[in-house]
Amino acid sequence: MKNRSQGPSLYFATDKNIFDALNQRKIDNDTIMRLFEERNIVVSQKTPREDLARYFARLTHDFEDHRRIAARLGIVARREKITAMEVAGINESDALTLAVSKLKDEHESLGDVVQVTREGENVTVTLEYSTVDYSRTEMSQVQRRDGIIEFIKTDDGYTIRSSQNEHIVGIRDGLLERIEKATNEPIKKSVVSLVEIGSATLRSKFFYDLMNEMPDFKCIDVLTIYVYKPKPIMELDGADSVDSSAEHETHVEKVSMRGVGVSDSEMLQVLTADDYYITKVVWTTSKVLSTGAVYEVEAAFEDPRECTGFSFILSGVYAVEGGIVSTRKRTPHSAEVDVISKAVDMHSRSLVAKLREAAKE
Amino acid sequence: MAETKNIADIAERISAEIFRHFHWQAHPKHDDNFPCVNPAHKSSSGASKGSHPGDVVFYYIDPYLQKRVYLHTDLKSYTEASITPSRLKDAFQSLCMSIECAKQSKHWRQKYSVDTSTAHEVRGLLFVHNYTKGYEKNFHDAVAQVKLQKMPIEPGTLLHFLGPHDIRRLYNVGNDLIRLKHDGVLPDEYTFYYPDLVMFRRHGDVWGQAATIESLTGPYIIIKHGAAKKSEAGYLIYFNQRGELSPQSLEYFIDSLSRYQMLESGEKIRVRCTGADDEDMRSKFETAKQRYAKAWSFESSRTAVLNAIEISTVVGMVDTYNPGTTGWRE
Repeated sequence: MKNRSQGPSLYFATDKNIFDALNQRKIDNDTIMRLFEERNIVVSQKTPREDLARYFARLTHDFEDHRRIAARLGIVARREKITAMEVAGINESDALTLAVSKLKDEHESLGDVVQVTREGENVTVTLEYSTVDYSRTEMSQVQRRDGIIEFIKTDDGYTIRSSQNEHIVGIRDGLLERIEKATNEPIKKSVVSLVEIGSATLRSKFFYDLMNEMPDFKCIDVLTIYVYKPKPIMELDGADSVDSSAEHETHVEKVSMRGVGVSDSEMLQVLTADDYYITKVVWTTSKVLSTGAVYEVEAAFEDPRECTGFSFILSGVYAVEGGIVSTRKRTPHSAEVDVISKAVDMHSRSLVAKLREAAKE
Repeated sequence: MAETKNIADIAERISAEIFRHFHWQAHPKHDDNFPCVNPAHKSSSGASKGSHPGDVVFYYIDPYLQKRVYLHTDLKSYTEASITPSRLKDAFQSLCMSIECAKQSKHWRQKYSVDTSTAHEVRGLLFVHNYTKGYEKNFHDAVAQVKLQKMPIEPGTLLHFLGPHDIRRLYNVGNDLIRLKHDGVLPDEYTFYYPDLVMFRRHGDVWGQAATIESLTGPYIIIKHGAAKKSEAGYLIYFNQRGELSPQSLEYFIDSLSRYQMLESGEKIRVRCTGADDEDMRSKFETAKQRYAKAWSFESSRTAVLNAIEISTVVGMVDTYNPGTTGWRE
C-alpha cells in the first residue's frame, strides 16, 4: 500500500468500473437488488447478473453508490472501531499542540487531509488518507480511509480515543513518543484489558456487565456473542509450547452465536460452563430517558487469548420515525457516536477496575 | 363515470405539472383495462384475471437504449396511515402482472398506439401520492418491508416507483423550471443531458432529449440549455441529496462533472439542490471545491472554473392534488 501522489482521494468510477465491480462474486444478489431499490427500481432476481450490472452501470451514480459497492467489495473500510487509552503525564498542553501541529505538516505534505480542532482543552485530529493497491481492479485500487484521534482532558492527563487500525494507532503512539521526548517526562499509559484476569467467569462478566449495567442505558437484546477458549499451553523445559498430546485432540477455539436473546441461550451456558469466555458482543441498547432510538453496539478484544486491544463501535442506529422504531439501520451521526463512545469507554474502565479487585479476592 | 373522469383529470394534471417538464408524453387514453394474456395470473380469490388496469401510459425515448420506453402507470393516492407494506405489496404484485401481460399483449400495443416498427420497452410505474401530505416516514423503509426480492417477477421485467417525497421533489423541480424560465435565466427550450459513457453512447440529437425515469430517481438530473434573456448557455443540475452530505461526497460530484467534460466546456454551471439546507450545502460545496482544486494542484484558470459554479437550493412547494379523491385507486 502506498500513499497517492495526486488527484482526489477517491476517483469517479466509470460505468465500466461499476460494471466490472458488480460482476464480481463478492457482490451478492441482495446488494444488487438493494442498489436498484434505492433508485426506486424493482428488478427480477432471475434477470442475469450481467444484464443487471450493465443496467446499473448506465445510471448516474454518486458517492453513496460508490461507497456502498466499494464497501461490499471490501475496498473502503467501513467505519472503524474505536479504541481508548488513558494517559497520565502530559502536563504541558503546548507539547501536545506542537506535536499535533508537526503531524499535520508532515501528513499534509503527503497529500492527506488533516484537521485539528480544539475545544477548550480537548483536541481532535481527523485524518483523511488513502492508500493505493495497483494489484486490484480499477474501482478498488484507491482505498480512502478516515481516522480520528481525540485527546479528551481528564484530571490526570488525557483520554485518547482513536480509530482501531494499525495506521492510526501507529500515529497515536508516534505522537505520544514525540510528546515524551519534548517534555522529558515519562507518560503513563493504561488501556482496557483483562490480561491480568485469568478467570473465564470474570472475563465473561466484563461483557455481561458492559451490556446490562451501562449507566443511563438499558440493554434491549444481545444479537451476537463470540466465545473463546484457548488451546491449552503446557510448560515443557521451562518454555511455553503446545502440549503435543493435545495437538491430536479436537479443540474448538472460537464459537460465534447470532440470533435473538443469545445471552440467555442454553448453548452459551453450556460453553461458559466449559471455560469458554466471551471476547466479542453485539447488542442493542437505548437510553433510559430518551425518544427510544435503538443503538447497535459492538465491543471486542482484538486479542482474545490475552483480552487486550479493547475496541468498540456504534455500528448503527434504529431511529424513531413517527413514534415507531425504524426497521432500517442507519449510519450514526457523530454526536451519537460521541455519546456511546463516552458511555462504553467510561463504563469499561470502571468494570475493569472492579474486576481487578474481584480477581484479588 | 365520475371515477374515470377523476383519474383522467389527475393524470392530465400530473402530466402537465410534473412530467411535461421532463419532456415525457402521456397517451390520451386513461383509466382503461386490457385483457390478461397469462392464465397463471390469478386474483386474490384465486380466480383467473380477466384483465389488468392501467391509469395512464407515459413514454419517452431513452437516449442510451435508443428505444421508446412506455411506463404503464398505476396512480395511487393514500393517506399516510394507509401507506403500509401490505398495501404496497398488493400494488406491486398487480402492476407486475400488468407489465408481464402488457409486454406480450397486442391489445395493449393497439390501445396505446405503439409503433411496432421501432424498438420499444414496456415497464411499470407505481405512483404513490399522499394526499393528506403528512407522510414523514422513509418511503424506502415501507418498500423494503415488502421484500420485493421474494416476489415472483419474470426475468427482464422492470418496475419503477415514486413515493410521496419523490413526487414532492419532482413537483418542486417542475415549479423551479417554470420560475427560472419566468425570470429569464432559462430558455423555453432545454434538453436533458446524457454524456457518452465508456460502454454506452448517447443516440439521437443532443437537443430535445427527455429525462429518463432513472435520472428522476438518481442523484442528479442534468439539463443543458442555450442562452436565455438573462443567462448565458450552460448546464443546470438538480442535485438530489441522498444520505449525509459531506465535502467528500461533493468532491466526488465535482469529479463526475469533470469526467463528463462539463468543467472544460466554458459554459455556465448551476447546481440547484433539492432537500438540502442552503447554508450548509454552500459551505460544504466551498470546502469540496477547495479540496478538489488543491488535490489536482489547479492553476488559477481552472480554479476559476470551479469557483464559477453557482449553487443554490430549490424553494419547496406543496402540490395541490387534493382529489376529492374518489377517483384515485386506494
